[in-house]
Amino acid sequence: MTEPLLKVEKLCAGYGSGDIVKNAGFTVSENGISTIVGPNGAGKSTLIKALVGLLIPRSGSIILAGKDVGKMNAPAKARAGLGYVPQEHNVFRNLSIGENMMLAYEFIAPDRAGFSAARDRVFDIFPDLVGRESDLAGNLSGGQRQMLAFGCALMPHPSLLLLDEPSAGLSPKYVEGMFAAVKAVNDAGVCILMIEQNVREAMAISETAIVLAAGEIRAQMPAREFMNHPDIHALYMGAASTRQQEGA
Amino acid sequence: MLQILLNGIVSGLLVALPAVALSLTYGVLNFPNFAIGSMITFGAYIALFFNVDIGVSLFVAAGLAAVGLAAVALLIDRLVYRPLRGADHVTLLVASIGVYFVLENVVRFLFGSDIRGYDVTVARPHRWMGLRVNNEQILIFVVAFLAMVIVWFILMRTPFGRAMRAVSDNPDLADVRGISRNKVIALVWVIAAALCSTAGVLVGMDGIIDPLMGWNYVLPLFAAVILGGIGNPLGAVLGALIIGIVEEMATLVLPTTYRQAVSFVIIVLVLLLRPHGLLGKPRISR
Repeated sequence: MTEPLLKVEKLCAGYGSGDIVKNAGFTVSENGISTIVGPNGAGKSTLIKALVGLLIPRSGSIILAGKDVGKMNAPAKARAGLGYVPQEHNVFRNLSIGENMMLAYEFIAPDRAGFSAARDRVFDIFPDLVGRESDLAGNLSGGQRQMLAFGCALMPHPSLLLLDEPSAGLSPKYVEGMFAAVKAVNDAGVCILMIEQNVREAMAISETAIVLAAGEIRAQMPAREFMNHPDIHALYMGAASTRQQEGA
Repeated sequence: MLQILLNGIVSGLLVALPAVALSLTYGVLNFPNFAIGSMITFGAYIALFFNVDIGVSLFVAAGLAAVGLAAVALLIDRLVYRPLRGADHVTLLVASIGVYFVLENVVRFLFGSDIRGYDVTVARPHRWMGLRVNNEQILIFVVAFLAMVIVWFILMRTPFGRAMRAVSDNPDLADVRGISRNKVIALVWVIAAALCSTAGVLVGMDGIIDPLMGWNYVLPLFAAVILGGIGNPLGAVLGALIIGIVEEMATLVLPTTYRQAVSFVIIVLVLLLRPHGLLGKPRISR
């Protein structure tokens, strides 16, 4: 078995007193899509903020491709290969689309020459963005903005892309397109870890399900097994956490 | 009338330099930097020190003043604003008022409170189509214009300018784009210091140097920034020109001692009638 791309161990994070994420531990293997699911208030957003470096974890380790990035701040993690698409406010609204794409690249990727190749790759996945470089990003519709946010995160060739509820706030007709885009990005060779509320749609494209409840990782199992699980409710509420983890 | 317009444009350009600085620091650091007045004064005095006490030309002294004031601004950021990073803007505003008093009194302590002047020869004003134009006014026009073109170029055409606008737009997203916020903030202070010290030297050339010289500019330059649309450097330039012209025009009907009141009235009117300023597209915020 190969070393996982991302290995999180005993991660604790939170605001003020008390931890919101408690002793979280899970792995993300290369090439697939993993999805973190859990009830509202489970600590999903806190977990992803800690992973990205917008919140510095109190303890524990985050190993990305064999390197401990746990104590790095967000810019350093970005340069270490961690891409991130926030749930909202995920583009620079007062900058043009072209400038957004440029900014997504130039402070992370060291080689300037690769910019146009990276941009072409993004245009291949999101053809809607072609020819609109001078438009203000703030004027895009919700779905298009999400595409731009996605494309920007892909610009510097991250080794792992974190998505915070990519379908949140999108109208139902965009949700399907969004998941297709996630799949397309993954097919282009980028490993993805996402948080998602639309469990059924997310699981359809995911390989792995990670269940987070009350700040703890309750289970990690293949997505198919999760969807066929006899008692998802118990997983969410945590009645049988240890048993399920053993079974994973 | 044309003479008044010309004088107004020149004094507007003098306001424009620190107004752009104020606008940039507001955008990136998210607080109105009240200490901007004493930065103008401090820059003027650093140049005075090199020009009069050391004896280098005013041109070189102005360059040294920009470097010196940048160092002072970075030091102040490290000591005062950095520990307060993330505090709300009222806290930072109050801190900057404190910085204002400290800087002004450092000037008084080092240089005294007397009126001073640069070591420059005064030339007779030129007459041109009935207008009286002196060398200082021409210099102010050229320097201020160049400075603004340079700032515009940095802001719109360089990676660091993009980074500055990104941090101003969405600091968290800038973080995950690999942009180091502290580097951007440092750059903003350097640019702001260069603009303020240049303004200080120009004000000193055109008039006098005393510890309150920057204070006189605080009101008009806040008025300019508010008029132009807070956090919009281009708006700040426009606002400054309007303030300059209106203040000069006001001297036709008001005693010159009330000049400053004009800025006040403009601030009040703008806040009442068009709170996001002239160029204030209300920023897109959906």
